[in-house]
Amino acid sequence: MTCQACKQNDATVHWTKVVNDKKTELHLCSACAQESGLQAPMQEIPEILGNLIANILGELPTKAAKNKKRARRQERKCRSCGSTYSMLEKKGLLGCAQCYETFGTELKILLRRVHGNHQHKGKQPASFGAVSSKATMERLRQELQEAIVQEKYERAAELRNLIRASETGLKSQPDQGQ
Amino acid sequence: MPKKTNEPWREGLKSSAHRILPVFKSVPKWTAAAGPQAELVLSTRIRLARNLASYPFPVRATSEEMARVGDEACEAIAALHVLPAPVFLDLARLNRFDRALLVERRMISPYLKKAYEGSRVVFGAGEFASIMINEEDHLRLQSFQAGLNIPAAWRAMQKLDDELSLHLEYAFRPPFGFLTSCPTNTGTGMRVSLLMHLPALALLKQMDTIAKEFSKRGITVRGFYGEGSEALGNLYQISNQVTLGRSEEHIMALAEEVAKFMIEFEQKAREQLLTKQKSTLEDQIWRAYGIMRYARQLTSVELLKLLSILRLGSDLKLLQSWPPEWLNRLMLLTQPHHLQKLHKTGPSSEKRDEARARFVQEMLKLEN
Repeated sequence: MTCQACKQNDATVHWTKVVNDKKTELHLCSACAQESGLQAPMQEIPEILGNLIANILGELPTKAAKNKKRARRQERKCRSCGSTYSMLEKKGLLGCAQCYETFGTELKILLRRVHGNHQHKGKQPASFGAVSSKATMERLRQELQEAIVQEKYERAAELRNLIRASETGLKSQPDQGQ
Repeated sequence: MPKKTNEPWREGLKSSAHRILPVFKSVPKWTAAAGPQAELVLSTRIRLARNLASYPFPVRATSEEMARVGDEACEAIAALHVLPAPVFLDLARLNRFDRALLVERRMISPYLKKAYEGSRVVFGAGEFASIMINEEDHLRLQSFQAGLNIPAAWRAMQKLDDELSLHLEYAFRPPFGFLTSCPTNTGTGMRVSLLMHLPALALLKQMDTIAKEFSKRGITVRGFYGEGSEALGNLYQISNQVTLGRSEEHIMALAEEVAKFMIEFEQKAREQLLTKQKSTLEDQIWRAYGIMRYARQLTSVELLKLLSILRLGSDLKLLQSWPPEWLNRLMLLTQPHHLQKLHKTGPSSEKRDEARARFVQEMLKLEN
């Protein structure tokens, strides 16, 4: 996503406002955000403060290191939608498909906790290239025949395209080919 | 796909507010017949969560992106003819009241009571299936059947999902499977939900134990109306919790197995009630019938409780038998927003409760 103001840099600041059920959104790069006064000026202070306090209180270095590590992990951003892991923790929602890659390691642990597994064992979409099941192809072919008999040519053309598209998928899976 | 501006679905979206009225003048066709095991299982619902690969999920998408997702999805749905005589509704063009009506009909989830920019719903004639667009995920496909009928709901769902997947590029990535906004849906994105009426188990206070036992196996048992163990009208929703690491067939087989177990368990509980407390039970059933026949005001909560007792009495043949689909229809049409719309009672709860009592009595007379 590019910045809505300069239309050049990647947008890293996302601002959502909900008034009377109407959602307004702004997506800006950090420079434009700062210019418009949206960038929270306190953003980087807590860590500095945290370090200061740790120094003053003489906090154990291992704990400080742990906090730092956690802060780093939380700061990692999805390069596609800009979500951070702490946002995921707070809302319980991922921002986009890319998030699954960005936070893959943490997610696998989370998914195992929720589902007892992180390995999908079900169907795959036809567009993924692997499967339209044989049953689906059979059904599509039958529908194509019916459409031709009933002279529904527009529908027949659509069905033909569907069949072609899924056949390309089937060919890449030799054990499922015709 | 080339962009056209004059597709009928675009016109449909614009006139959403007008197109919604005729919908409520009829009951959904899928509720017309009883379906297998209809006495205890009111309905079977299967839903799949799907996202488009090239857009952020709704929670992170801009309104413009959500509108584009909406257009792409509508275009695919219109082109595929997967839904008969589809109705396209733009939820932002409907008022809160009409959205609540759609929730009562289960065409949209409570999540969409609050309409987001670009949120839409498409459903076919008979309301056997609906597609929510820009809910928590880009697409939520739902398929409904009366009674316990997982195979029929799945057949319709497969067809819908397979064809859409050839037109739309879904977000799918191994090892995770279908990628969803919430990690609790990742993998198959599938939820099988069975709506069950379990009054005897509730009366014998067995539901908490059962819910705890099933949660260990990845099955959720919860009240359909209201939270907690006190399920209103003794209606429970039984659904799979685990969506990842089990195939769709595995999930469906498990749901079917659980449903059959619950049916058997409920029937045993009913036998127990009949042998030990028949007189009390009969008294309660006839009292419920009496209230329904003669009350001048009925709140929706009271009616749900009464309908549950009446349904039990009807199943056990302790008074006249009503067909399960008739009881389901009565339940659907007496929900607050349906009642208000169909009987033009206005927002006064007193008028609504009066209209509810009158309507119940008319329905009872018709069936006598």
